[in-house]
Amino acid sequence: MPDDYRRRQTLKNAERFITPELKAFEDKALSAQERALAREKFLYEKVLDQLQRFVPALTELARALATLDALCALTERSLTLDWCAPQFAKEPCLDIEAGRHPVVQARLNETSAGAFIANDTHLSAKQRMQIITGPNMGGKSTYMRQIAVITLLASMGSYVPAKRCRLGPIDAIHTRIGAADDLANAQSTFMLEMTEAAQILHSATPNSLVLMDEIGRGTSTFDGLALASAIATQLHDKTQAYTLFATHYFELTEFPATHHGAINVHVSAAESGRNIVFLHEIQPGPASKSYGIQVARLAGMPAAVLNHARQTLEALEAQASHQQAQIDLFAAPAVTEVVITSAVDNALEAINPDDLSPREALEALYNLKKLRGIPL
Amino acid sequence: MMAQYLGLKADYPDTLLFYRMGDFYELFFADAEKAARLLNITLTQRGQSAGAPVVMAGVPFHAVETYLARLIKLGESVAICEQVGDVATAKGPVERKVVRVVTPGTLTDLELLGDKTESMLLSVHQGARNHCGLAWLSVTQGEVHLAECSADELADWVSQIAPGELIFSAGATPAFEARLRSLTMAGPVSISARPDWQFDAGLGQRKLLDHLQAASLAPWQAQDLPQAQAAASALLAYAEHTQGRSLTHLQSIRVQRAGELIDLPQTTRRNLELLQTLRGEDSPTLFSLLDTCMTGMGSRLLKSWLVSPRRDRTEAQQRLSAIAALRDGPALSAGAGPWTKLRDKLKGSTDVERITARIALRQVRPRELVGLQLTLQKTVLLAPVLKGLETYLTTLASHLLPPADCTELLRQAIDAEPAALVRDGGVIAAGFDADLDELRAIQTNCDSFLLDLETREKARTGIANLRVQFNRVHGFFISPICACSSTGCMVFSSKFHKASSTRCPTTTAAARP
Repeated sequence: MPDDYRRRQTLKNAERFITPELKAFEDKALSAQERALAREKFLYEKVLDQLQRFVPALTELARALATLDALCALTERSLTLDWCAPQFAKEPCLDIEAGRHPVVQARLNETSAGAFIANDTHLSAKQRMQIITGPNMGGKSTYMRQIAVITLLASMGSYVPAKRCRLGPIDAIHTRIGAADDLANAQSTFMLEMTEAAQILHSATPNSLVLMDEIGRGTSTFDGLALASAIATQLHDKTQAYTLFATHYFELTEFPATHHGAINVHVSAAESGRNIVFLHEIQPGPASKSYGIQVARLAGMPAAVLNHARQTLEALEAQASHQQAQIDLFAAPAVTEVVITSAVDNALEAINPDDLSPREALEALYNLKKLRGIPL
Repeated sequence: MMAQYLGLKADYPDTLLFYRMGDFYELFFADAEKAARLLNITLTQRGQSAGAPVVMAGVPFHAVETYLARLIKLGESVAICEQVGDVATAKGPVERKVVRVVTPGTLTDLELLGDKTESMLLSVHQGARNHCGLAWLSVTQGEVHLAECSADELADWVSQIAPGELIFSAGATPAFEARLRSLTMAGPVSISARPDWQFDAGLGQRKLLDHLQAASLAPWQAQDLPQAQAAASALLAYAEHTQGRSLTHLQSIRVQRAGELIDLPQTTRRNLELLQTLRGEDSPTLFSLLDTCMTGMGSRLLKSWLVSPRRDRTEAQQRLSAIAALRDGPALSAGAGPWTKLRDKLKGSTDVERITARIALRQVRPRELVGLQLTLQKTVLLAPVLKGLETYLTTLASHLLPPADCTELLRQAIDAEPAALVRDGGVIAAGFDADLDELRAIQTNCDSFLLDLETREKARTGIANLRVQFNRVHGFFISPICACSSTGCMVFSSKFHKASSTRCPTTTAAARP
């Protein structure tokens, strides 16, 4: 070994050395590395400083890029899925020709389970409510939802899955569609159903779209029917919202006879022998049968149960035909509506204590006594 | 060291404190127990503090993002404390500082944020007479939203805003707090109280004016919204607190008034399966069907269009005529409308919106800047396609011109294939800075120097097997008998990453041409 070799490390089978020349080089290289890193950090910070003044312009550019991207996506969808441009109208109307539910349709295409049956919808100031009846699985829910989806798509400025669509002013879309128990919040199905329905009745206006799916099914038949008819009446007479009211209570098909803003429609089904074929088509008029037993058969219910059910059904129908005509569900509200509001009540209603000065409040109090006819 | 930790922790009592120690972020005491439970990491004990063993748990620094993501999903907030002092020169514990606080409503890391979801931070102020002020923002957007409503309408507003995090004043009445906590939200929301004095209308107004660089809020019609201004004051204070700096990119405000939007109650969104199926999945939904956007920011904007349609049809009509023009405009290539060409150019664009926010927050990573530069280059090509198609599209085109010097600065400054982090080096492009180039030249030239030295030493000693080598612990050495074939500078640089990186020397060498 040369003299200038210094031992750096000794291993079992090797020795490692360093020379002054190599040591000097090491110091230089290592410090260069360190200084280069520090310099890079410094430069990076400086670049960031310089970039700050571009932030407003870049923010604007990002917005424009995103808008363009979203518009292109909607364009692509409209062509791929064969959608049409909606028209907006000033007068109240909701006219859809050959409307489809885009998600259900896409799903059908994916599984090639047949073509989606398009349906028309015509709602206007005069005809604001549809009572939808027909078998379960027949497409009532899909029909209602597709109207809401088309309305929403049009309102956001997208093309819509229909052949033609004309839409009046819309201020809200309310839905009451059966859902599972909300176990987390300890509310029963029925409680939840009523809470949601109550919220809708409070907030809907004539420009709102309201979807009611099988309201009242969470309680006993008579309770449910009574509530459903009362809610339908309220929506028809007071709220006057565009309402799609799907129900399995046949009794409600009588509703349009006395309420001229409502019509019956039903989802069609055809019986072939003991089986049932769903046509998914919306047709005017009430459904003739509910096909519950046929649907149960489709679901794989045991034959014994089906037979038993059929016998019971026949017995029930025979019994019903013996009885007098149905109770007129919709005459009742006229009789019970005896809530006569007095002048005092009206005045009280008009007072908002938060808005009154003490003096105004005193005057209001005198006024109330006067209305009641109590001498001052 | 424990004294330093406890001092830092005192400022973040309700936040998990990730305390950087070398290659790990450590948590101590109650934090450690909580994190061990939530993350399923091992709890250990070391030493003693105040007579009791110190309970601790840690996560390796390079995997911190995944752990953060899990904690944020669970609604936790995390304060990240880094070593800011010089490890080599420090006496006693290295100086440490909380550099940012990651909370569910103030995410900026692209890794933690869903590509298609905005994480909103909402501040609610309880005003007089049953009146509430609302202010909300997404840290990665440049906009503050303001609104006022009655306490009864609060639930609808909150469900529409769908915040990831909600703050309210510690001075709010217990009934109000209970009401906030009982609101049903779409996802988990972290709700916390902030000091009452931060909810101050005057302060809020001043802060908003600062951001807008304006003398009055009147142009935005936000001057008469004291409750919303109070909420904004706390909102901005909190957002700044989490980012560790002022949010300079917030440069616009938008006031929302009741009755502007079509009401879509939570039940409607759920029943119509707009964003989530009834089972809580992301697809198939109306949004998943609609969203064929090329960029994350496009998807997020489309989502906001879908869930907040306006009653007024001006905007919708504008979009419809733009779509018509994009569909049927003059075909540029055979048979396809202008939209195909545009989409082609939009493909591969980075998330300019989020990167811009991260520039303003000085958190941007080198690779994001490279992505930004490439996107800006492509953006220039978009405007000509849009020209003359339709008025709204023409307006868009005028915003699509990238600031002139920006692209150039990025191109010159940042290497085309930079390292992931600045601390790894190799981020600044060659030719940008003379000093840096010189320092780098010393390193690149060392290869030839070492080979040269090796040849000379071989000749001098007459040992044919002699090698000049490098090892992490001992540095350069001459080995008369060689056990390994690698030589020179390629490997030596890894010595300096051992404190900050666990990459093995060979991969470092491979990454460094």
